[in-house]
Amino acid sequence: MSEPVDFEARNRLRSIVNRTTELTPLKAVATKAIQMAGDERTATMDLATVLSSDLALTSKLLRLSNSAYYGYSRRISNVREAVVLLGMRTVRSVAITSGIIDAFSVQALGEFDQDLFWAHSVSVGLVAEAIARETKVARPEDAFTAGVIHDVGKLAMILAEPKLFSEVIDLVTAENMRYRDAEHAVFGVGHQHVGGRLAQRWKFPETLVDAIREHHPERMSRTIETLTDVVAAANLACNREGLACGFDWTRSDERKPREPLPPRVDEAINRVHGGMTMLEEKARAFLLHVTERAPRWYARRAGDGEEEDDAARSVA
Amino acid sequence: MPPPDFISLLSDAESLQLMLFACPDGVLATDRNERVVLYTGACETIFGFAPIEVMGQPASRLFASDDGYERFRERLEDDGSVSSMELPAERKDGPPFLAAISAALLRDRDGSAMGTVIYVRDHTDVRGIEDALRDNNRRLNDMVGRLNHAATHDQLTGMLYRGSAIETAEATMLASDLLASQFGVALFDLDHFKAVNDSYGHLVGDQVLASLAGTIRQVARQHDIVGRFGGEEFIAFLPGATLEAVRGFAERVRAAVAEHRVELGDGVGVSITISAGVAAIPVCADNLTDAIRVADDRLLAAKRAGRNRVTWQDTTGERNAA
Repeated sequence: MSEPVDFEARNRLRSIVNRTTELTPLKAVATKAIQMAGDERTATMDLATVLSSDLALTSKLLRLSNSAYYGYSRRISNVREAVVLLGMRTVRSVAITSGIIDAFSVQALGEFDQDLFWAHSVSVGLVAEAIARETKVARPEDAFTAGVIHDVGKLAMILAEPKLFSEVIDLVTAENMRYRDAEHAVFGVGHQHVGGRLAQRWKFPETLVDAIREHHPERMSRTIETLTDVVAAANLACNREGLACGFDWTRSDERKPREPLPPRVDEAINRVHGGMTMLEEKARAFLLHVTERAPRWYARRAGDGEEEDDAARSVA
Repeated sequence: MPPPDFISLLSDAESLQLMLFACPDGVLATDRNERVVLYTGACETIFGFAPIEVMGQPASRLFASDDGYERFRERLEDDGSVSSMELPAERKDGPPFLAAISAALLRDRDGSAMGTVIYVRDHTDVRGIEDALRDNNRRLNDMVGRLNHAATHDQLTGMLYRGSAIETAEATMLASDLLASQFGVALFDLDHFKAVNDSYGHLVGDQVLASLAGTIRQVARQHDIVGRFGGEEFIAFLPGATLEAVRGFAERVRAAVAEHRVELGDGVGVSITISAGVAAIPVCADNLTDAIRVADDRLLAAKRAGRNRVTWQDTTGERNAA
């Protein structure tokens, strides 16, 4: 699924992306972290220096480093130590994702719940990281970054066109339309295209842009071979577990994958000590430390039954 | 009775004398030629000499070594005063003892030297206690060191335990230069160790483990960190090593193990082989935990591929097709 060719849709895409970058400039640190060459060890010192200059980010990073999230027994007391012990790519992905989470803060909009949006996104990031670690088709840290920002197009649409987006919400909640169809009916473009464009604008590497743009494939690949497969599969796995995005979780048929996920997805999740429950806990901890407040979370899921929808709604 | 007045007390010669002679430290004064002019009762108790034997004599005679006395004078001239300096001193009816002396130069209103006042304390007991303390402390340190070693090292192989090896590796990473922070990890596992135990017994099994540990240590460089990772698994951390370097290291260990029989005495020996998985930061993993995980996966792959080999790559295609 490449970008839409239709002229009007492309204009819409461009105007949403322009307006978003105007409204939410990324912090210098996040921009720098994105553009830093992945394997250049010489960039490490730069990264530590740049990160240290941002006190807010440094304090988030250190809190996260010393929390159960990473489970290090040693006390990590500065950015240099975090870079050496957790790794440059890990620290970099924390800088990028927390920079983006910070930058996007949308007003409450109908049924859209920003906390649950990030809850879903970070869960996808962690599942993607686990799948990448298991299949070795991509760097786990890149998979995490791609997973966390895969749906960022939705936020851009809300920021740039709040009125249009509330129409989408109406169509989904009142008319019982599928989210994907409603989005297309109102905007003429999908959030994955907006997200892909945005990632391009931020100068993310090509594989990451692809993974965002292609995270809703027509058919889920039977094997995991690229970062795109990783993110698409992680997204479906989270939806299956009820860790779904902001408001479109209301329709359970939409989040049940139509075809079974590649077996390696569940192998990867089960390889994590504590499985999906642990990944969910980690997602919660990540948001707690990055947003510096306890995020609203999904209601206790009572199993795989339909009642979970009502439970989640009452919390949202 | 009027309250005691500080100034009047100081101007009363008799009060001053009383206070001077009541002082438990020996008070000794010399003129500007360093001859003794004042020698209190406490001095007599400490040195054992009667005042008549000392008065008018050079003060240096009271001290056992000219050298020590010279150093004392030098410090006094340099700083104007000396505080609690230890010097060997003479005792009339016994061997020299250790005195702690404090002193000050006395000057008149014009600033010209009048002499010296020296306060003397017998430090024999203090020194005894200090020596005993120091001795105890050293023994405690030894013991803590031995306990620490026992807590962090495997008794059989003398290698670091898993946790302490990882901690040491982390500390090395933190201490190293960031720009050069390449780090190699190698995991070794004895092939068919159970068979060795079953056919020769556990004592021979232990001997084999100790011999393998010795081989790894011999091949490792001085600053490499080696540890016993689990039953028959060993780990080596190679600071600064690339993937190629850590692979070469593991290959040398593997070859050395395969070439040499472990001698059990009486011409009996047992041949063993090992499998290894290696990884390196930053090419294979971002941090130590992930690097160990990758090395572990590769060790498993080496076992599956038939043992007695080193695996340094992932076989993604094959695993993905599963």
